[in-house]
Amino acid sequence: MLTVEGLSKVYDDGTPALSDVNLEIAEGEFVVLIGLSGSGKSTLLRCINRLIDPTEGRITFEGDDVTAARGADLRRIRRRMGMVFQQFNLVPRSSVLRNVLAGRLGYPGAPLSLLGLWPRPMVRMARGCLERVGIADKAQNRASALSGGQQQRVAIARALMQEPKLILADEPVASLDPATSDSVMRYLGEMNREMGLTIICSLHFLSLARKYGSRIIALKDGRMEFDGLPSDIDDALFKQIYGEDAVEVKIR
Amino acid sequence: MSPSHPRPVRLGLRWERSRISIAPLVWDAALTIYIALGILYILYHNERTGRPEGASLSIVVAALLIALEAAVVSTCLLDGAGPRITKLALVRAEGGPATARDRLRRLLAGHLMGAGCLLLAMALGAGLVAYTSLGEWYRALTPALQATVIGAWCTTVVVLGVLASGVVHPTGRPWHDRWARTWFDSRVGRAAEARVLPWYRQSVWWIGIGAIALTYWVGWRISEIDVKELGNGLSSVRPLALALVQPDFSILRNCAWAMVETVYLALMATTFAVPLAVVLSFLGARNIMPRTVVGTGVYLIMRTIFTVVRSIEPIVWAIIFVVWVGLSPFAGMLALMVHSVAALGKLYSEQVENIDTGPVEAIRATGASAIHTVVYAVWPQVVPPFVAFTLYRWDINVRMATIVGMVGGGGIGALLIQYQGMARWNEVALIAWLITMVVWLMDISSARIRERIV
Repeated sequence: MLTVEGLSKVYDDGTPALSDVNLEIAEGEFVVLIGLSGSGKSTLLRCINRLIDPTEGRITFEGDDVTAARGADLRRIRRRMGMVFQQFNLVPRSSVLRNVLAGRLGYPGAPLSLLGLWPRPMVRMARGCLERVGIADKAQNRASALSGGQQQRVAIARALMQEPKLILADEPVASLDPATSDSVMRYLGEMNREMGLTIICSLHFLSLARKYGSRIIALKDGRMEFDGLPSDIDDALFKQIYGEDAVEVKIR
Repeated sequence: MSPSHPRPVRLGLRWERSRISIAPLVWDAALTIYIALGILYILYHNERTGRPEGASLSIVVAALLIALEAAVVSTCLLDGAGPRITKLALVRAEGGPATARDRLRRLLAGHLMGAGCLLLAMALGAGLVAYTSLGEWYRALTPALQATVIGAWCTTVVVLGVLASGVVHPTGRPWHDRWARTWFDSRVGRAAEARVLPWYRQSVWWIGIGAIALTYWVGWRISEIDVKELGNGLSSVRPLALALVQPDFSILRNCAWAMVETVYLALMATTFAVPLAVVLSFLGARNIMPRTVVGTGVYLIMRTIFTVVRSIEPIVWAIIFVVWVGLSPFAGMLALMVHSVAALGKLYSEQVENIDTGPVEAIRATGASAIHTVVYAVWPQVVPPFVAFTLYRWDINVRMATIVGMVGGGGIGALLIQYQGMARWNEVALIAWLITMVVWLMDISSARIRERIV
């Protein structure tokens, strides 16, 4: 469903972030991206929905050429991919419900959305999404009043609101405590199993990667270092990815 | 010259990329011009005020500054010591870094060279004035202009002389460098970068202190500061001070109405300014405007308009609008409005530029259009600061409305200037108290509200 061919990205200041990444992701996979900070995980995820324009290479998503898309075409592709961020990226002063409704901005059918007015079915749908992540009772609260874990669940609900085929999660649990991390990952896992969403998620904890991932891709200095099953990652490979001095930290 | 010697560098005539820094020379030139302007001003001031007693002192100070400048430029500055040049070092002709004696030798040689050129310049100049038609032109000038001409002429000849002495020689070294058996090299300079001298040995400090001292001295003279006058004039403010505690309440009714007019005028000005400023501020925010030619152009134009309009005081706008629409509160309102649009526009656009980019990224990722992104991700973040700035602006506008009223913009200012013109201090006192009260109230209440919001 998603193909990445020869993807390279060099930032304007000359920093190479990705070089020649090739990927083929099938529907229903839970892909976990691992690698050191600065290895290109975020850049790869942002190239897939074109928040960043790649320097070279081609990305196709369900038959559409993402890299060539412009304007309205690009927005139509983007709305089929949800994105979840490390810092949640909710609008802190807006209500939870409004944040979730924002996930629908890529679709037509809400002509008064510029004024903050939404048709009733969409509000019902947003409440449904909040229910799925277990915080329907917080709908009217300000987003900033929620805890980190709750905010990330709102962000997931916002992504669900897009009715996406694919969810890109950029270190979704890196600013959460271990227990909350696991619950957020559980929601992503559920969506993968029950709704059949494809998920690409970058993670720092290998234990979480093994637990939730169906496939692991490791990046190092912008290159693909490993692509295989979670069970294939052994000590030697770990050191290859994270460097000789690295020691695996377990959370649970 | 043996092959092991570092290649001499022609100062200012050849610029090697990233090896010789041209910036310190530019800086130096700017400072010299600044000092020269200071001296010129002093000459001009002395002539205008007809008080030449300060002239000798001015010239001594100026000469000291120039000498200081010359000394640092010719020695430690170019020696890789100061922070301004780090890539050129004085080296000996035989190789190796220069010693303190070498530096002294070069200082003397440099000044000898400078003095020689100066003599040449003066001789040439005197000849030109005496024997050519230039003399008539020169003698027709004012003394200050004559001094300027002499200064410019001497500087030109000295600079050209030093440069020429380097150009004509095959090694490219000026003569005084050869006399001192030293030259500047860029490779050795890198080692000198690590060496940090104490501040009093860094020329930049001394030049800075000199420039600041000159600035304040010139400032003192321009402002015609005279402490004696403070004491002499004390008796004439007595009636004013007495009136201040005896305000005339008989005009309270009229003044209260005028005050109300002022507050409303400020309110209308602020209200009309806000929507305009909001729209323009987005056009003047770097992170909103696309990085295309059109986007950057609009951004730059908006920023320029903000700066220019804001730098024209409301009182000047009031004068313009009084001519335009006549003596009325409407003119005052327009004046305040125009100024508020620019001031708020700038403050707003800075807020827009300071927003958290995370939500913007998230909303873009949902496939939202640009306008939706602004409304959903940018707008909620900027509303509270916008409200705070608006209240603050209203507060300012009430104060400004008084001033604007003085030139015919209506409201309490008009009354104030009227009574002041008639020297009716008791009435002026009442108005002053009234203004103080209202401004004070506005200040407190807007501060309270702002605290709540932000």
